[in-house]
Amino acid sequence: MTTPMTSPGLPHVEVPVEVLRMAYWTEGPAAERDALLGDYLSCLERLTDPQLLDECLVVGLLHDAPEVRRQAQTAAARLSPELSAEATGWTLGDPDETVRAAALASAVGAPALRALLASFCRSAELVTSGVEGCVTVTDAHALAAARKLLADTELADEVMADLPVPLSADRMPSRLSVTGMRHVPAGRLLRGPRPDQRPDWGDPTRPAAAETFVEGFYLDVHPVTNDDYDAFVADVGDHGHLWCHPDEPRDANHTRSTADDPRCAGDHPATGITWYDAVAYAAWCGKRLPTEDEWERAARGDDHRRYPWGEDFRADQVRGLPAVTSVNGGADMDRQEWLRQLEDLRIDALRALTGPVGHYPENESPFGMRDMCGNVWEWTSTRFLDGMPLEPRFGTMEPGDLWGEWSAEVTVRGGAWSSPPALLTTVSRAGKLLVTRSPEIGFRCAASETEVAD
Amino acid sequence: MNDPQRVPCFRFSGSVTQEQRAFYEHHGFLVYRGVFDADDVQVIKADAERLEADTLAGNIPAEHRDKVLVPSYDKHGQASLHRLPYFTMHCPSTRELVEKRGLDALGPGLLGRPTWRFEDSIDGAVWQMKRRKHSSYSALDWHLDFPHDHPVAPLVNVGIYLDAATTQNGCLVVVPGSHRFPARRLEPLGLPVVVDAGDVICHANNIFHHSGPVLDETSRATLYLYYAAGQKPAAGTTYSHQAGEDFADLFMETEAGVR
Repeated sequence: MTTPMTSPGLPHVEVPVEVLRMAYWTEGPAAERDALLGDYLSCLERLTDPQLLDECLVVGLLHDAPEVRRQAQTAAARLSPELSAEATGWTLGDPDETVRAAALASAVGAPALRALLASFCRSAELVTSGVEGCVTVTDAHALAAARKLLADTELADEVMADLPVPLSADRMPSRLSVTGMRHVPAGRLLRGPRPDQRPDWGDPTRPAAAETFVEGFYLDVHPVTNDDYDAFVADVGDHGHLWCHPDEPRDANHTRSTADDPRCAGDHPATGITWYDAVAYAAWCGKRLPTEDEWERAARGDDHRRYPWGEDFRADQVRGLPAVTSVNGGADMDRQEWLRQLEDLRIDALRALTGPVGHYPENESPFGMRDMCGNVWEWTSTRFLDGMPLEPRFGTMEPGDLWGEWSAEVTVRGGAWSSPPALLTTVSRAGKLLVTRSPEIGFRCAASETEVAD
Repeated sequence: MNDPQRVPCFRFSGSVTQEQRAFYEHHGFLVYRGVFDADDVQVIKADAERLEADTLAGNIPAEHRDKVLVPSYDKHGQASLHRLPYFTMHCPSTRELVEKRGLDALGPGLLGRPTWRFEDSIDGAVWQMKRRKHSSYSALDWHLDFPHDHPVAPLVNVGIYLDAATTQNGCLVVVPGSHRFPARRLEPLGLPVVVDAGDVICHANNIFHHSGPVLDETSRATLYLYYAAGQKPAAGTTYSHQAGEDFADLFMETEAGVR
């Protein structure tokens, strides 16, 4: 008894009933399984059509029962050498170690070798050292097989060069470089203004935990520029969305909303990007966004200064509202006056919004970061209301539904070209929805000491 | 670092500032640090001990005894109460203290209109004790105190914390902003509000909130005052929690402490 196989592209062939019975067997006594398995293996011996044979072997190779997979692998090695090499590759990744162990003996072909090496790592040195996750007997056997195969240098080089394309950025070599970054040593942070600093309307309310300790880290000297960011967007176009936050909608467009604005030159800070965009960019270069505490420590230094350069506001050293308009931007501009100025402001009519990064030589923090205040607000990795790490899980929600969702608000720091003096400080903070695209919000990247050391 | 780090904590100086009211309207809650000192807290605790003893002794009128939470009993059969309604009616020292510290300014200050304090109706001011695990009351499911269209609404719930509230002993957990926007998430993310004894938490009548289970061996007490801007009912009108719970159940099916 046979059943016609009607897969597209295949000639009309009949799948033996022994194969179908094996395919549909899911659970039952071992004796029943063994009887079906015996019939299945005998049936395979009788098949003469190579295509049908391979199809029927695959039924066993992908079966739920480990014993069936094991026997099918043995049969494949004997009946279909080409399929066997491929199947050894699958079997070497089998979650059942008894199946894996059986496959090791036949791990000779290039596909199997690739699978074997890929199951360890991409580096021959690491494979040889045996440091990578060997904890069971089968692991040790696999390692021995890999070492043996690696002894064939020519073949190993060929296979190493031909390892599968990485499926995610995690499997790509890190691009992390501390060029263009400065180190910030571990130290204490007093959040918000010092008690002896004169309070201003732009200052935040005293937080629940006024003091913390920040581990050492590296931070970009400048905000990420449009040129840098656009290179990332182009790379996504070439390689796909390998660096996106897992919560981000699939195939999101990372192009900044300011891309067509000629006022936003290549050496200006990247703006018009969501928090997800910033996170993806940071991952692209092997970095991450700074936490709010890291940002604040980098901007204020050990003496917790109010401005990166010291204690007094300097309109000539910061790109704020006075720099882009004719507004008389004294340090005493109050909230109502500022809001009135913004009410009359037409962004389209301004000659410039952002300015080149690093333009103000004295706008430098004690640890060497430039433009920490002014030019653009900067995304951090911190949730605004409670100061905890942002862990978004909004993937199925429409962006409009996020309005009013407290856990979707991210802290931005530093003030922007549209900010009055009271907000152009190292202590001012604001919360923005993580899907916001604004010509006033950019970012810079950080890396932990441990990440750099690795 | 599991506790909220940057939740703003305000100082109460007898009136509500513009900034405080803006925060309250935006997020639906507000924390005032150190409104009551250790001596103040002791005054309220002493009143609570006396009122609990009087209640257990049957010296308090039946209509002023709690009907919401069942007592807990120790191994000797000794009862302890979790809830004392009409607290300020029966505890003049606490009532004077509350007025002396200026808390009556919170209602009009946060709501922007005249308010009245629950005193002789809807259970009045309520002292509530969450006792350590294994007691009959240590957690409260997600709920609203009063829906937005309740006759007494809007109102401010003012919680005077007599012991520290931590994530271990089931502190208040709110969904900030949920008093303004309907819940859109099947599992709303709550914000634990961690405070010390003597702190005050104000929250809106229709903000989603719960308090998780007590995970340690501590107990904690809170005295709740209510400042309402809606209709004032006749003295003796009874309290009902049901409306708020029914409303919350429209959105959530899981139990507090499990999510």
